[in-house]
Amino acid sequence: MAAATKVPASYAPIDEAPPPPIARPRVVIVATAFASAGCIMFFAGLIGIYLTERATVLGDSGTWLPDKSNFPLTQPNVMLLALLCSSVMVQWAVDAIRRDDRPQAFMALGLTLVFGLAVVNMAAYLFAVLNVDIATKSLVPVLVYTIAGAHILMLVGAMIFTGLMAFRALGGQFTSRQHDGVSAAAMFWHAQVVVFVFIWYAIYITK
Amino acid sequence: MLRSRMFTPGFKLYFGVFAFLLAGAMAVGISSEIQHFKTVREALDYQGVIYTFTGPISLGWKGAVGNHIGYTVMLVGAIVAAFLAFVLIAFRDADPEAAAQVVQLDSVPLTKAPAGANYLPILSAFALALIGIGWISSKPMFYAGIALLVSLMATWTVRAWAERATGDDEVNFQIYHRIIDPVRIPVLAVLLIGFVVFGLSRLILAAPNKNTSSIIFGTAAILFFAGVMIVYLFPHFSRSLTIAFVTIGALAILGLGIWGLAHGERSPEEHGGTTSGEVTPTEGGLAPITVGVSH
Repeated sequence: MAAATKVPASYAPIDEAPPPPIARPRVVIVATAFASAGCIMFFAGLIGIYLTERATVLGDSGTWLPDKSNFPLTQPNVMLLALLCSSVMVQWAVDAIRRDDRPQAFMALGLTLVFGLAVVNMAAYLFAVLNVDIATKSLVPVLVYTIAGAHILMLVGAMIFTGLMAFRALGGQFTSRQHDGVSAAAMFWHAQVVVFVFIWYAIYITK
Repeated sequence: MLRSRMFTPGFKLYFGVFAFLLAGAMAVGISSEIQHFKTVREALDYQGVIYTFTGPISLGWKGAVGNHIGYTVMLVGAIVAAFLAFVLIAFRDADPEAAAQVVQLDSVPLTKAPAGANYLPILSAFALALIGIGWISSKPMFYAGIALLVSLMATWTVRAWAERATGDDEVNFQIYHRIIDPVRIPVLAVLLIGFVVFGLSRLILAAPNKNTSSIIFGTAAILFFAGVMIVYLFPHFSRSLTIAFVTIGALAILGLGIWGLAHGERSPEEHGGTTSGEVTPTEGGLAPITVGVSH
């Protein structure tokens, strides 16, 4: 920031200051697209390693999943459905803010966060019932917990991003003229949903 | 002269990356599958032409894919490149006419230059490193890193908002300090006092005896008073002197405090022995209990 003038901060002439210039559009959206691409490539590498190790073990006529492990479908299916619903919610928020419908935008953003919390809750339950001991010789526990845990981190990051944009929307910073922040948060949310679709198929469906 | 084009340069770049990675994924999937055979003809004769190609094309559903890691990474890379190409052309990135049309202006708005130096990114990186190290070694360090990261994020948010509050950079600066100083100054003061007290206490406790501890304490007090007096007596150089004294003092306390921690505290001094007839209290101040064995 520029050096302070002799006028103390308590007397800052806010009323006389010119209005802020309009920000260049689409910058945040493109940046978020690149960040999403980086995250997706990270999971591509992890899932690639998982599939390779699985193919190697199965090719040697071995058993991939450890004994006594439990890979149910109920919890992952509920997580997938919740994430798909949350994608609809966050896109509803973008549509609402684009039409200057602020109450609907706040409701949609809030519901998105609720769905995110529900997914985190179900993930915790899933980890409790997996019955996979990380101290075994098998690579399955390490890979499964790494991939699933990394997705939870990405989900938490998406929730923080969405929460921050909801806070800015509450402050009146987004309108039909400029709503890049909400669109960017929606894009990152969709990216983490797509990541979970890959995880759901690669780990919980193929087993 | 910049003018709008149907296919933007960004789209062309990432579409090329998409095509390259897609071809690469097919090549990796097919070549790694047939590498077990001596020749390509032998592989095609053994498993058929259609089977050899349907594996990579159907994402491994109707055939085999040799190297899973290479195929997966390149295929997902191709998908991601296609996504980026779509985003860049859908949102008309680097197209000034489209950007101006979105915000309903005659020309594209100028980007805002950074207003002054910002140390928050590097401090945030330090907080992340603290979290990572604390996760492995020390719980207090882990929680300290999280607290530092949360406070830095809040400060950065306020600063980013204040930089765009009005069109005057000086007014924005004053707004930022009006909001952040009532919180930042007391918190930093408490942390600084805690740092000085903890560092000096480690040094004093590591001294070999009580007299040395008194000398250290007195010397620190005299140096602090002398520094304050010098800053007061030379007001023209007060800012530079303050920065110099604070930096030297912080480094000295840090270095000596680390030395004191590594050296360890001295053993407690004796406070005189007990006389006959007095009962020596046990731990917790309770009277000693003797248990006898009956025969």
